Amino acid sequence: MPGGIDPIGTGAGRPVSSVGATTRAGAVLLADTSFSMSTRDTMGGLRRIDHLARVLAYLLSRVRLQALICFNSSPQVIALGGTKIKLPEPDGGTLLELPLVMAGELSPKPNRVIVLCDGEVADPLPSLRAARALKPIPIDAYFCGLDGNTAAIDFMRRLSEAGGEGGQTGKFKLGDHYQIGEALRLRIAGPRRG
Amino acid sequence: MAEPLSDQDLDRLIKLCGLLGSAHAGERAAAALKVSEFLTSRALTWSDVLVVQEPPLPPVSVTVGEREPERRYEAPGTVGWRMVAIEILQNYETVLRGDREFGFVTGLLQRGRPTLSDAQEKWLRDIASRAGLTW
Repeated sequence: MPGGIDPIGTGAGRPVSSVGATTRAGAVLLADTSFSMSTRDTMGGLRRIDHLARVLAYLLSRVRLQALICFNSSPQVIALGGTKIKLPEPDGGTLLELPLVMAGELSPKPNRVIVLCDGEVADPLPSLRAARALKPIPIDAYFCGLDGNTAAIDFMRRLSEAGGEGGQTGKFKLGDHYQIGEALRLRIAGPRRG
Repeated sequence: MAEPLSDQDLDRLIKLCGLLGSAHAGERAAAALKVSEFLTSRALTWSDVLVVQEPPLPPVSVTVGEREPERRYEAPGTVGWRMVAIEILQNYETVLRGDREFGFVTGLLQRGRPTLSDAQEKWLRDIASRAGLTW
């Protein structure tokens, strides 16, 4: 499609970069905002999405992302650049193919794609195909759901392997805001200088 | 982190670097030596002058909010919930179960709000499905 994709009405045919992404090549973060992110399974009673908001507040105060794309049944590019950012309420399923395609359609091409997901995606094969199409862009795929979900953890590993060289996989506890935020910051910006 | 160069120093450094492209090997060597001395005398490294120091980012607050109603209910080419509610009242009143549902649908239209709560949407979709309508 000329001028970028139109993933379920998010951009109505406009280039993806015009609906929230920045124009400098950098890292793109794909953040799961599916209904399962409304789960309250950490001490303190916060929902997973509220933890994600804290992680992102830490991260976005320290590094610049090329784009932040939230995904559930459809992807949504979140406008960056200001000091107040709003995530959508958790809703819908976990479809990862379109957000990956969106990341690949960005102009300029991102230099890294990072995926944060708390469960199994509903479209594993199309997602892996989209991940392979992103090569040589590396994909860091992090699982942040329940420890025992081996299928989801394994999928994240395969997702990372499907991307370009240098991708990483792992799992986080969403309640550890600093640990996740700092790990992501390091992936994006590298160690601090001086 | 090193102090930023003064305008005067920056001009001088640019001129010296310009000489690095001289056609004469002697001039190039002399310019390279001068640039090196320039950096040493100011306790600078190549990294200090070549790497662009970005200003620190401001603190960002991230909140979780409602979905955008316009896209959800008013997508181009679809019939909005208002049209469905009007259609029910005009042509499918028989699907309404009692005064409570009639009051619910008319109340939605009278209040004139652009969006529905999740519970309202669920209820209205249930009524609409009985009339074979959707949005």
